[in-house]
Amino acid sequence: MMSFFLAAQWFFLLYFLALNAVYAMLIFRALGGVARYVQSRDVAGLPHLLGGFAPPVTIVVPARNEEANILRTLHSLQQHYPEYEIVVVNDGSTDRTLEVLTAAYSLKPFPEAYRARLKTRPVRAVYQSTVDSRLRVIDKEQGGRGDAVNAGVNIAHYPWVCRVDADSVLQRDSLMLIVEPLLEDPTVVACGGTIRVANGCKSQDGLFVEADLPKGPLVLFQVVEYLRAFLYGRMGWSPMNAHLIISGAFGIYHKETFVAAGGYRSDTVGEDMELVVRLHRTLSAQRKSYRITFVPEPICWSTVPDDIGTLRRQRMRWQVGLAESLAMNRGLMFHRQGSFAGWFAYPFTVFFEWLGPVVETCGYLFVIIGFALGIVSLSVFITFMLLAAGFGILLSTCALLLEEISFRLYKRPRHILVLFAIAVLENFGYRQLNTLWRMAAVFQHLHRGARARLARRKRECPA
Amino acid sequence: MSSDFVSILVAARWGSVGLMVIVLVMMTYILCLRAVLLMRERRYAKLSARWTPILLEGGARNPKPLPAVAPGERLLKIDRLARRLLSRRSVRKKLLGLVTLGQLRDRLEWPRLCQLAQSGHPLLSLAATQAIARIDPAAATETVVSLVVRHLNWPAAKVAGILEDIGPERVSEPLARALLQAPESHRPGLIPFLAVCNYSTALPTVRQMLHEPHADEVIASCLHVIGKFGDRQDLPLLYRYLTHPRWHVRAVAAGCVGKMGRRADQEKLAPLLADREWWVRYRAAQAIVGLSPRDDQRLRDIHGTLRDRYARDILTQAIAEGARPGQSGTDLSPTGRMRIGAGR
Repeated sequence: MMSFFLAAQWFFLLYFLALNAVYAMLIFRALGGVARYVQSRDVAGLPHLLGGFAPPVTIVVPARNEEANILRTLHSLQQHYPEYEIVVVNDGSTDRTLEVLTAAYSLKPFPEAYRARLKTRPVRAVYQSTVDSRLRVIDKEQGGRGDAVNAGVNIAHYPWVCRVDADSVLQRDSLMLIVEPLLEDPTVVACGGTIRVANGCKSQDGLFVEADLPKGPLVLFQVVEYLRAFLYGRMGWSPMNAHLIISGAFGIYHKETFVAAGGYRSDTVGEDMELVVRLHRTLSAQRKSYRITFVPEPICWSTVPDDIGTLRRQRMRWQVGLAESLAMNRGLMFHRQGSFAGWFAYPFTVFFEWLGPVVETCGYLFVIIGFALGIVSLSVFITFMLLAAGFGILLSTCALLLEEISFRLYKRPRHILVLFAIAVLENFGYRQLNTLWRMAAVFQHLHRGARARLARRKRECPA
Repeated sequence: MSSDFVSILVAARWGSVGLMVIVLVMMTYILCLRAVLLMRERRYAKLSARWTPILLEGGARNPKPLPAVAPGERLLKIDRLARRLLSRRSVRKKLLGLVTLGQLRDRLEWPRLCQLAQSGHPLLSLAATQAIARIDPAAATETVVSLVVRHLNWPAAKVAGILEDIGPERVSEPLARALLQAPESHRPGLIPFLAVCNYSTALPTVRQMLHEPHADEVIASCLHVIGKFGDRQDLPLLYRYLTHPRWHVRAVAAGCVGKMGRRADQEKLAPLLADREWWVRYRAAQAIVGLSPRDDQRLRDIHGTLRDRYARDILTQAIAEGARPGQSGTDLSPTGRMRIGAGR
C-alpha cells in the first residue's frame, strides 16, 4: 500500500512538473511574441505602410435561430475594409431569422449556379439583397454550424473566407487586423483572432466600444480564463506554428486550402478545432510550407455563459470536441513530417488537455484520501495544495502581465485589482469544478465511443 | 517516506513560498506599469489638446499632399534625426527613418538604404526600396528591379506602386529583360508587373513568351497582361487558349475575350458554358453577358440555344449579376481579373 502511494506521489509530482514546465515555456514564447506584435502594430500604424494590400474576403455567418441577433451582427460586419462580401447561412432556423433578414435587406431569390464543392445538407434557395449588393443569404436545411459554413464557402467569390459567428461582436477594423498576417507571410493558410469576453463591455449597434468588467464572479472567472487561453496559450504555440485551434467565433481561411482539406466536418461538436488539427496533419504530410497563425490583438468579443448550467454544458462540449478532434487526426501524433504540431502540441494536448482533468482529479482525491488515512502527512497535504494554487495564480498573473504590456483593455485601476482578486479566487473552487466537468466529458466520450464500437461490431457480426 | 522524497518535499515547500513571492512582485510590477501608463496618458492628453487643433487647422488650410522638403528648409534637422533612426534596433524606428528619408529625398544615406533594401525583414526591405526609388528613380531602377525579382513575397500592389513611381519609361526595359532571364518558377509572380510597363515593351514580351513552351501559370499570367492592354490584334492568339487542356488557362482566356472581343466572339465562348469546370463556365458566361450589354433579347436567344443544364444555369446567374444594382459581374478569384495586390 505504502509503495503504491509512494509511486503515485512520484507520478503526480512529475506530471505536475512537466505540465508547468511546458506552461513556463509557453509564457516565455508568448512574451517574445507579444513584444514583437506590439512593435509591429506600431509599424502597421504608420501611414501607407500596409494600406492597399488587403485581399478581398468573403465573410460567412452561420445563423440558426438568430432572429434577435442577426441584424446587430450584420451591422458589426460593416467593416473598414476595401473589398468584401457577406454570406449569411440560415441553417434551418425555426424562428423568423430569414423573415427578419428579408425585411431588413430586401432579399430577392437569386439564380445562383450553386457549386457544391463541399457536401452539405440541401440548399433550399439563395437570396441576394437589393439594397446591399455585397450581401447574399443561403437558406438550407439544418446541418450544424460547420455544415452551414461549408455551404457559405461553396458560393464564396473571394480567395479568403472569414467565419464569424452570429453572436460575435467585432470592431470596425477587425477584418483589417486579421488579414495582416496573410500580407506579411504568403505561406499563411489560416489565421485566428483573439476572442475576449463581451459580457459587461459597452457596444453600440453591434460594434465594440469599450471594455469593462462584468458583474458576476462566474463571468469574471471566464475573463481571466480567456486572457490565459489567448495571451499565452495560443500566443505561445503560434511562433512554433503549432497551435491547434482557431475559434469558430472569428477566423479566416485560404479558401482553396479549406476546400482541399474537405471543409468542416459535421460529425463533431468541435469542428473548428478538428479542421485546424486536420490542416496540420494533411499539409505537413504533403510537405507543404504553411503557417496557421493568430492575431494576439483582441478583435472579437463573444458573450460567455453567465449561469452554471450553460457553462457546464459548454465546457463538456469543448472537452468532447477536443477528444474528437484528436481522435480523428491521431495520425498527426509523432508523424515524421508533423513538426512542432505533431511532436509537441498534439502530445501535449493529449496528455495534459485531454487526460489532464482525470489526472488532476485523481491527484486531488489521492491527497485527500491519503490525508484521511494518515498516509499523506499534513505537511505534504499543505505543500501540495499551496503548489497547486500557487502555480494557478502565477499562470493567471502572467496572463495579466502580458495584457498589461500589450493591449491594456481594462483601463481603470479598479479593473486590475478585481482581476488580481479573481486570479487568486478562481483556484479555490472554480478550477476544481471545471476539472470535474471536463473529466465527466472524458468518460462520456469514452463511453459513447465504446458503445459505438460495440454497435458496429454487432452490425458486422449479427450472430 | 524515502529521503529523496523528503528533500523534494522541502524543495516543493520552498518552491511554493517562492511562487507566492514571484506573484506578489509581478502584481506590484503590473500596478507600477499602470501608474506609469496613466501618467503618460495624462501628458499625451495635454499635448494633444494643445496641438491637435493647430495641426488640424494647418491641414484644413493646405489639403494638398506635402511637397518634398528641400535641404535648406530642414530647420528642425529632421534629416539628421531620420538618419539616426536607421541605426536603431527597433523596426518601427527604422521604418520611420526610411519613410522620412524617402520623403526628404535625402541621398546621404544611399549605401545604407541599399543595404537595408537587401534586409531579410520584408517590411524593412520594402520600405528601403521605396525610399531609394523616391530619392533617385534613375539610379534606383536596376537595383529595384533586381530586388523585385528576388522578393516575390512582397505585396504586389506595393511593388506596382514603386514601379509606377519610377515610371514606365525607366522600368520597362530592365523589367522585361529580368523577366526573360528569370527562372520559370519566378515568372508568374513577375509577369503581372508588365502591366505598369510601356505598351510597346510589355506586349512584345508576353507575345514572345506565348510563342515558347511555358508552364500553365506563366501562360495564364501572360494572357492577363494581354487582357490588360486589350489590343484586338491578339484576339486570334486568345482563341487558341479557349481550348487549352488546363482549366485556369481556359478561364483566363475566356475573361480576356470577354474584355477585348466583339459580339461575334459569343459563338466562340458559348461551348465553354458547358465546360466541366465551374470557373470556366462562369468566366465564359460573364464574357458573353459583357459582350452584349443591355441586350437582353440577344442573351435570351443564346440561352434558348443551350441544351446543357449547367450552361443554362450559369448564364442565368451571369445575366442576373449583370442586372444587380451597382454591380456588374462580381468575382475575382482565382482566375478573374489580374490582381496586383491580392496578397497572394
